[in-house]
Formats: sequence, C-alpha cells, structure tokens
Amino acid sequence: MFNAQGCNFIAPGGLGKSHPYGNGEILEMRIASIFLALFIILDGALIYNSQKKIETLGSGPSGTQSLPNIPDSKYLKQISLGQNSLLADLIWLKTIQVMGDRNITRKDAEWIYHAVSTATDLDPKFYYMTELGGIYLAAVAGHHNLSIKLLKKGYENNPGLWEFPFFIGFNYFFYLKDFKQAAYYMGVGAELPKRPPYLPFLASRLYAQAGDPRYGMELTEAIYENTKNEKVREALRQRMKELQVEINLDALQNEVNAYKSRFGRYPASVRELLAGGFIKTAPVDSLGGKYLINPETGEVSNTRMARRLRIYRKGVIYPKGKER
Amino acid sequence: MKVYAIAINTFKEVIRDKIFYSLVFFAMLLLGSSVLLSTLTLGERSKIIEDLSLSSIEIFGVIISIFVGIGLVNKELEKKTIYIIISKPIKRWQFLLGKYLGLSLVLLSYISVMTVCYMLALYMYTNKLPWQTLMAVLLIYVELLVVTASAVLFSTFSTPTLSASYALALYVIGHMTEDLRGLAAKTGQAGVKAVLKFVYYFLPNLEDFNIKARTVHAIPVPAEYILMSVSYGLMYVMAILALSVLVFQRRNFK
Repeated sequence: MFNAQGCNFIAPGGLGKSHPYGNGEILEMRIASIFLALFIILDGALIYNSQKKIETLGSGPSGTQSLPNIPDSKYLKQISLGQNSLLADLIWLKTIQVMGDRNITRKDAEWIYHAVSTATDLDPKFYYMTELGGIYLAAVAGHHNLSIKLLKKGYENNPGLWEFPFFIGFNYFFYLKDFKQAAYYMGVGAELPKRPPYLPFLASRLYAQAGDPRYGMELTEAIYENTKNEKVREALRQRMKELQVEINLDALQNEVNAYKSRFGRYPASVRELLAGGFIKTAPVDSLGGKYLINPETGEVSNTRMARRLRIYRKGVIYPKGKER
Repeated sequence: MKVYAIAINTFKEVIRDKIFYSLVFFAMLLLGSSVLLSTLTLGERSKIIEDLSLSSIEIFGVIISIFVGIGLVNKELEKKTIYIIISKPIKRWQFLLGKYLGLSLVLLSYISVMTVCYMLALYMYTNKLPWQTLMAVLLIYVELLVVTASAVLFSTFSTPTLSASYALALYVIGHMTEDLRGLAAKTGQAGVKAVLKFVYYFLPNLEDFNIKARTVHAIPVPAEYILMSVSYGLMYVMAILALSVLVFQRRNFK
C-alpha cells in the first residue's frame, strides 16, 4: 500500500501540485494515516495506563529506599571521570528530598548517613552538606552516634572550620550528656580561627561543669595568649579568675568532705579547715571575695560568684558530673 | 598561511554543521537546568549551578571534540574532496594541522559562549561572579584540545565508528590513570612496576586538568600548577599530532 515506487507519475489535477501518487492511492493513504494516528493515540493511552499500574505495584524504590542504590564512594570515584563534585551534588539533592519525609526510622537514618557520607567522600570540601547532614541526623533522625561520625569526617576534611567540633561538642553535651567530650570538642573549636567569640567561654564553662576546671584554665590561657582584642582579653581574664575560683572551690570541697569523715560534721568556716591542718594556707580569692562553707550541707561557695560555672537551661540545672 | 586557510575553512564548515548546533543546544539546556536544579538544594545555590555548568561544558565539549574530530579527515575522504586538496601544493601535515586548528577554534568559541552564558546565569541567580572558576574552564579547554588531537589521530587510520570508540576509551582511561600509579606502587615485582609506570606516563593524565571542585570551593590553585598543566596538555597535543602526521603521510587514498 505504501510502496509507491512503481507509480512514479504526476497525478493529474487535484492538488495542483506535482505528486507521485494516483488519486486512489492518495485516498488510501489518507485513510491509513487517520487509522495510524488513532492507533498512536489509543496506544499512548494504554502505555500511560500500564505505567500507572506498574507504579501501584511498586516498581521503583521511593523515599530512603532509593538511597541504598547509591554505590560506595570507592567505586563512584573510579567511574566518575572527573565529575566527582557533580555526583556529590546529585546525591545531596536526592538525599534532601528524602530528608523531608515525616517518618524517619533508624534504618532510614543509616541510609541518609550512607548517602551524605558518600557525597562527602566525593567532594570533601562541600562542608555545608556534611554539616547539615550531621545536624539533621542528630536533631531530626535522633541518631547521635552517626551524626558525630559524619561530623568528625567533615572535620577531618576541613580541619580549619570551627563549626564541626562545635556541633560534635553540642551532640555530646545536649544529647549524650557527656560533658567531658563536649568540653573537649568545644575547646578544639574555640582554638580555631573565625570561631564566634562566645566559644572559648562556653568551652571553659563546660570544663568546669565536667569537673575539670583545670583543663578549662589551660584552654583559656592558650586562647588568651593568641587574642589581641583588648575587650576579649579583659573578658578572658575575668573568666580565668572565675576558673581559679572553681578550682579552689573544688579543692576546698574535697577537704570539707575529708573533714566530715574525720569529725563527723562539716566545718563552719575556712578557718576551721586551717586549724585542722586540712589546708596549709587560706585560698586567695582572685575575685576579691570570701569562701564560705555551709555547716549544714557542707557546700562550699564564694561571696563573689553567685552562680557557679555551669550550663544553665531554663528550668534545668545539670548537677555536676552526674548526668551521663 | 596554507594551514591558516584550511583552519578557517574547517571552522566555517563545522560552525555550519547541524550536529554542532544540536550539541550546543543540549549543552545550553543542561546549563539552564542547573538553575532549576539548584532550587532543590538547601543553602548555597551557586555550588550546584557552578558544578553542573562546568561539568556540562566539559562533557559536551568532549562529545563535540570526539564526534566532530573524527569526521574532520573522514568527511574529506568520503566526499572525495581529499583528492582536490592533496593535488594542490599542500603538504599533508599542513592539511592535518589546519583541520585540527580549525576545530580548536570552534571549541574555543563554543567554550567562550558557554562560559559567558554560565557566568550570566550565575550572576542573575546568585549575584556572584566566581572568577576563579575561569581557571577551571581554561583547563577544560586544554583537556578538549588533547581529546580532539586523539580523535584526529584515530581518524587518520580507522573508520569513524571505531575512531569514536577509541577516542572515547582514551578519554575514560585518561581519567583513571591514577589507579595505574596506585597499582604500580602496590605491586612487588619490579618488571610489572616498570611496565605500569611506563603505561601511566605514556597515557594522558586528564585528571590533571580537573580543578573544577577546587575552584568552585574557592580553594586557591597555584599559578604554577595551572601553567604546568597547560604546557603538559599542549606538549601532549603536539606529540599526538606528530604521530598523526606520521600515520597520515603513509596512508594511501583509494
């Protein structure tokens, strides 16, 4: 029907144009064309319906289930042909779409970790992604260990950025209640350039909270040495005095407890401790105040420091070293 | 002068080619889609636009280099126009060099247009002009020069389909040679080590030209690195072209 090779003559009249087909053939072709067009439309509808059906049967994975499809970074690096950072972007974009899902299970969190960690390997300097992934894993997915693992990876790749140790420290402090680790990482962040001015103070406070004001003092001294701004130096000097009070308070508290175990009661003042030979000299108060001992509870305090160096949250005061 | 005439002629020929236009069209499409894709991200959009734009400039550049490059000599053979040219007082090396330079000029204009579009898109959507990424574009151009030279080399002795496969394979291998060096470092046998090392230095290391990620993150790339990479690329191009001339001079036209 369509093979018009044999009838290569000009059609008489009709279209007014030269045409290689005869009149009957033109009609035949037109009918055939209409049928074909109808067939394509119908078939298109069928194709659309089958795809719809396949989707309901659960063809491709959706949500985090699509993330396991991301191969290991080892292999991706080999086949990326120099497009590492583009691949990282694409994985990141895919992950973000999943992050918005409402129900994130522990398994989902692991896959999100896998995806972001792979992208981090592909583009180690894409720190924004690693940071956000780390925060997300802790804050939304509640997987703090994976969050810390990812943030540590980010810090290894970008050792100059204070944000990574800061968020690692935050995880230890806020979720895991490990004040020693928290203080350590805040301290690491506090010594990095571009860190916010409050970080050294936060770190030293955390050290005091963890029961290690001496480390806090060392850290503050180191930062003091490297600080040029006189206002900050003044604040750091004040903080060092407070830390000294903290160190003295801790030492006195030990002696008060020793006093109690020997005499069965708390001393009423520092002088009693001196008289008992528990301390050789009265501690000098760097803030210019006095050390007091509550004879009822044995609690040591300082007249100049109304509140001790602790992290205070509204309504919650963490007792020293008890929460872990 | 004869080289120049052939180069200009090749330039005009390629610029009029439909394949070239469709490739440029798709490259532009991808570049435009980078703006769209970047809306999906959180945080800095510019990184997505920069990455996708630089990658599409490179990938489509490679496709143009290979698929237009293999046709440079072959088209002349197919249309029998080669007889007219070689009967003129033109040396074969002049013909080959002219062809190569013509396509290099096409690639230069392609990359310039794409870069201007990329910078404009970036400026429109993020109000930033990351000049340092121009260095990445420069090295992409040098990479394209190497790929084009290899396409020309293969097309001097092989059919278009095979030449394209060879050139594509060389491009892939060129990005993976780092593994050869790693393998050489790990192997204990001295003989194997020597062979691997030879292959590593023999093949083009196209990863040398990949500073895209570094420039996107604004990590300074030493000027010496860029200079050395450019000269490495140009020397490699000269070696491949010399080899192509050697092969082409021995070729009989049916």
